[in-house]
Amino acid sequence: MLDSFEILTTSGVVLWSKTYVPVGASLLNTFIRDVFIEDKTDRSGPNQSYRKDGQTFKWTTAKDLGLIFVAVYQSLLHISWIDKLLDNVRALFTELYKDQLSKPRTTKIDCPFDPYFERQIQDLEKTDATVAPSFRVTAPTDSAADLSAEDTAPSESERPLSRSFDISDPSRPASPAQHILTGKGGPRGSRRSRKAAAATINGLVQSSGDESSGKKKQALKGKKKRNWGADGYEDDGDDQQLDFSNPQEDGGSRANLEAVDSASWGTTTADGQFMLKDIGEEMNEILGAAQQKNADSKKATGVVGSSLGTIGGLFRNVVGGKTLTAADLDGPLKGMEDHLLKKNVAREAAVRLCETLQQDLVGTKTSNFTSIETTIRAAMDRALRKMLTPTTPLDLLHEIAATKGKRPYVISIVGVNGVGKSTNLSKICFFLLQNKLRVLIAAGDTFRSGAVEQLRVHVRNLQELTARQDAGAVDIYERGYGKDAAHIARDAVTYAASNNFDVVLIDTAGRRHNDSRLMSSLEKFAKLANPDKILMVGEALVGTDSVSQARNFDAAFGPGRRLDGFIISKCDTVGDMVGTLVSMVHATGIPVLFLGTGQHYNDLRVLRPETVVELLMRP
Amino acid sequence: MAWYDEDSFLTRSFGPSKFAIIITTLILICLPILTHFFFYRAKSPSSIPRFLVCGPSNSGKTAIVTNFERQTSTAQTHTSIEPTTILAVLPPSTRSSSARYRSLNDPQAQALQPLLLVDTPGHAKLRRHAFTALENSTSPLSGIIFVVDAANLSSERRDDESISGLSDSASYLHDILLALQKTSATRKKPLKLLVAANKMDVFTALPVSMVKGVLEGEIARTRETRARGLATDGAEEETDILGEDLGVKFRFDVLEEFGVEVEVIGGNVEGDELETEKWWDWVARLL
Repeated sequence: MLDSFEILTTSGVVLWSKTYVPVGASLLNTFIRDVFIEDKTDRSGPNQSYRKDGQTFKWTTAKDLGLIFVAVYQSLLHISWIDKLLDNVRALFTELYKDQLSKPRTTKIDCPFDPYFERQIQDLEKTDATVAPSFRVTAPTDSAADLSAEDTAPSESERPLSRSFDISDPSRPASPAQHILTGKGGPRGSRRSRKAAAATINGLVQSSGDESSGKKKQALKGKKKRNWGADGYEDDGDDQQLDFSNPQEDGGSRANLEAVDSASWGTTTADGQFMLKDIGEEMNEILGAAQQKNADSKKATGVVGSSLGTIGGLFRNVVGGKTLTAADLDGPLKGMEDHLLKKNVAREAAVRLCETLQQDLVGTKTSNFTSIETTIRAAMDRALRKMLTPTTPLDLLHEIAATKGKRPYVISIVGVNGVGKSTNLSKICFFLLQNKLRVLIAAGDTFRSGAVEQLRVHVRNLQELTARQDAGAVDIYERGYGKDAAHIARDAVTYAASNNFDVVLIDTAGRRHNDSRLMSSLEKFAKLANPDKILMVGEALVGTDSVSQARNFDAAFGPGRRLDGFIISKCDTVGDMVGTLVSMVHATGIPVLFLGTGQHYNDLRVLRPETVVELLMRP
Repeated sequence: MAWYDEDSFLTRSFGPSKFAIIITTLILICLPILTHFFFYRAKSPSSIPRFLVCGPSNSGKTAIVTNFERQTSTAQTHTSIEPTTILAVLPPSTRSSSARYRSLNDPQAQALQPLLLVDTPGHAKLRRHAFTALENSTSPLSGIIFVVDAANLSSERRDDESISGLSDSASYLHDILLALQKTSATRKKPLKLLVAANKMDVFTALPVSMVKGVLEGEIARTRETRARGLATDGAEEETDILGEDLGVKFRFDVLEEFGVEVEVIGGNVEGDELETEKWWDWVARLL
């Protein structure tokens, strides 16, 4: 059964929620962060869902109004009607409170949505559980007599029905919900309240049962929520406003009550009996209208319709205010995809970026005097910038300062052959030395001939430079060739700890990312050396392969350990074709820490998302 | 009848007929009025003072904004994805500084003083919304409310976080202050920044004086490592340093030189007793 259902705005305010089993607020925050901000889940496909801590989240959005509808339930349960419920609730909610929702500069929405929601759940369960044994029990007659006390006496309906009023907004349109309340004052006991009472009784009678009946019980329990007191007020007296018929603050409610058009809340049958209009009828009307609209927008194939539509579309394309459809976006998005490919973004990343963009844009309106192309460019700009901005700003010096004196800070560098691991390592070393830190370089490449000698040359150069500049100190830890790199790394860390080094930089042998034999040794390496940061060097020159490089290295360190960042080398050789950056970050969600931009020790830069995005979007 | 005939509609419409004159006059009068309405109808009256609400994620920005709007209660909130602007009014119990000398019975003083609150998302990926609002020069801000979670200001990293609450808050505040320092030349009046220490109802919350102390200490460390850090790709100019002189110990007072006045005030918008009066007083002083 459902645990919780929430309707919230993109700005984070919960408009309406229904909780059966409390779901932690932090869990919902994690869901929002992972799905909407960090894009950790695959958002394509209609059956989007997100799982966390045994809960499944399903959601749908109303982009034009900035609403998110989230349903949470236990992952163990399989609820087939969740998608339908989300769609129906979206249609109902947006239709019922359209005026309030489109009002700018406010987060206050009066939405007595409970009855609609409960009715929806009921209906959907009914269609779902046609096979399950029916357990509906008719209410015993004596309980019906009890109920009559609960139904409002007509004389008391003269009192003002609601005390809480929103003064700031006297022009609020009368909500269709008014008849729910008015119905209570009617001469006959309302069908709904009796049903609710029956549900309560059912709940009592059904002390135990099979799973399906248990499900039902919980669904019906929702109906108990609103208790009507003897005087027509809500018993629990929460300030949810139900009466929308009365624009004045007080008084005059009687006149208003009399003015209610009887047709709006009920119908008179042929034999003069007054029937209350059912909430279900109204709901079905709204849902039907929404479906009709959907069908209409899909149909629109007539000759006149299409040509007029085209002209209007062309006009709107210039002036703006056009509601975007998938067909409008196809062409320009294809262009955008080609553009990204030309900038050396891997195809996989480009395609997925464009797909997400399409999902985000369909249903939104272009703003004034902007064409579709401009809108797409702006959206792509936003998406790229969001992607390249790291989730947590990393300040390496800050972190080293925190561990300084306690233990050495360990950074290891991995990557494919010939991407510039040793070169970038010495660049980082130079940067650390400038900050007066004591650095130990561990020669972990025990495989390629000349690798240790290469590092030794770097260390000699750096020692020379530091002696001249009165910077930190640097030394090399090497054990020749042929030894196990993981053990050398571990020994280097213990050596550094006993000799007061602040930072250990571990070089590793280059390895092909799709060679499982070579990659498997990385897991042991991560376990033994236990580096604070594992950085992967990728070269900006590589194209499509960057995605699988990043993925395989990210997965190589075993469960629970991931890469901490990328260093993109050789950025000076590609000009504005910086697509590799995007592909790697897109594949893993791991930020780029440094860019190698030249041959010198000081040619190391920090990534600025704005610069990269600008280079990418440059025609 | 061709279009150039004497009787054709074109000849008549260019001739000095009464009908043509009336139509032309109507167009002449209506066009500017209509244009005006078309362009300026949606635009807000710029006189409403604007406040920017920013701060790290999960510090309670949206909660504070909704509390300011509703005044008595706080809406349930989750992580924000988009910025939003809402219109709030000063509560009758608080008087704006511009209405200081008015008599209590002055009907003008009774009028509700409106203000706009710009709520921005606090997630690190979405912080640029706050900076765009900061740089928006068409309608300058009246003040900035930087919200911090007083109960999450330890330098120890929690398991579910990749950065400690303190360094996250401090580095964000550092960036905001640095952005303000850069634009200090364009301001005539000093800009006020309120550090709203939220969640004071929580047992583990730090007292206001300590909030100020730890933030100042952490910002000092942050600006030091930033000053020594690597150059950013594509940025030509020298790295700016908050307060400009690393030799001077960083305190919020240092920034008064750059037209930024920082004040730390505590409060809470959840729990048994809501404590927002001091924040309202701060807001009222700027109106």
